Amino acid sequence: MSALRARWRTRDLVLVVVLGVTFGFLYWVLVQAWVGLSVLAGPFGDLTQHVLLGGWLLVAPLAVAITRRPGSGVVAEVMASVVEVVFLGSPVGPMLLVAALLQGAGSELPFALTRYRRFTWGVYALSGALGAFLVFWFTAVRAGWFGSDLLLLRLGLQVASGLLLGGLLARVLVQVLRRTGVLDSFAIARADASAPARA
Amino acid sequence: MSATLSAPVGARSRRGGLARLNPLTPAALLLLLGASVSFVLDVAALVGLHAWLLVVLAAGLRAGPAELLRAHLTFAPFALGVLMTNAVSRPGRVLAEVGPLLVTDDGVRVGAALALRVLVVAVPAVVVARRSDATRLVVALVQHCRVRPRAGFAVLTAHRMLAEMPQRWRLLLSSARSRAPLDRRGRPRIGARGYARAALALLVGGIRRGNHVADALDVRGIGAPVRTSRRQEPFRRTDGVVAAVVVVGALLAALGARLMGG
Repeated sequence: MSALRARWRTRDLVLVVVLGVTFGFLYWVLVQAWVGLSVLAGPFGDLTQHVLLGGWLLVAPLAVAITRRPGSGVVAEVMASVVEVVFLGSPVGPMLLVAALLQGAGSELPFALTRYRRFTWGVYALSGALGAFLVFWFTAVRAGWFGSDLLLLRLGLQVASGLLLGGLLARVLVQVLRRTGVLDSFAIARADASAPARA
Repeated sequence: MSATLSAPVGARSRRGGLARLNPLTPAALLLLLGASVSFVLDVAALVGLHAWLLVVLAAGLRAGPAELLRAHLTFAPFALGVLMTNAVSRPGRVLAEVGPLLVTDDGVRVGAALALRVLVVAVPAVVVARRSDATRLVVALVQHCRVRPRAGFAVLTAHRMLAEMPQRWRLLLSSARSRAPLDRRGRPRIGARGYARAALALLVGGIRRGNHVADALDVRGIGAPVRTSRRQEPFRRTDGVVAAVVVVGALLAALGARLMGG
């Protein structure tokens, strides 16, 4: 596919970066909510974060769906984490970059398998679930969750959250953004124009 | 929150120690710290390491006690949450029973290490970030890490946008508040929908501005294959010396504390 190999336009590049930054900021707002939630939940505070985890996966499918460029999801996710670590000082620290890389790769893989052509509910759902699944093992190793009683519960919560917040919500958001008109100059608008029946 | 957010502006006057370093040096040291600490679960070693890092921050970057305390307090709730969850969710010798939960010795040990890890990584990151200059960092990335100028400028744009983002966020929220219905005590209730709307407005406004900036960059030929730069960020001998001192000191502190702590 020549369209996939084409050089990134500056607009694509800036869009992916802007998405990364905006979500980096919104993630940070989410972290504040989550810290509050985890203090409220006392000893199970650590668990409440799993419910919100999917929110961290949102930006990758968004970037992929709008620009349809290979790698855009990974770049956007890593940008968001750079913002969190470098500028906002996330409690997770620089290793968040690695987590972001895994999340981005996991979220982008389902789209890559369809060669960036199919953007159905199923592909989005798979994207969110896979992103959560990949990053789970990384976090599990780092936090020493193996041997803890809650391993499977944690996995289930995170994948479900990824599927909902990081997958399906992304498709809703893409359609809302599409209607505002800000995406009219991007690949997503051209794809819609060439195949309007398959929304 | 706003302490770290508003920092890039306020930090200008007291950048001090970092001004003489290539901006990539502290960034690389922070990455190295985060990566190496991921494999340490020894409380004594982490305490030693943290003590050394505080010395570096206080002496090298002139971080005052108030700033260091604030940095610790920012991450204290998170660290505490990690400690509590781990204390009651691991097998081991039972130390205490809290309702249906068992506090185990292993749980407390691992939880304390994980909580300490949070502080070890986060406190230096915040202190360094407050003193860093984004433009210098991007120039250094372009010159040494083969980041393409166009990408570098895109990141700089994003950084400027980020600096304004809290302000735009507050603006959106207050406009939401002015339209929101009042609750029984007469205060406006934004609700989850209101927050979602504000988030969407932030996103749409950002994308729109991003499009304008992208066009402006194109017009100025930022994507041209060969560019020269007025700014230079070379590595100097100081960079090597500082990096070596920090790393060797960290190793000695961690090992020393481990030996003393048994």
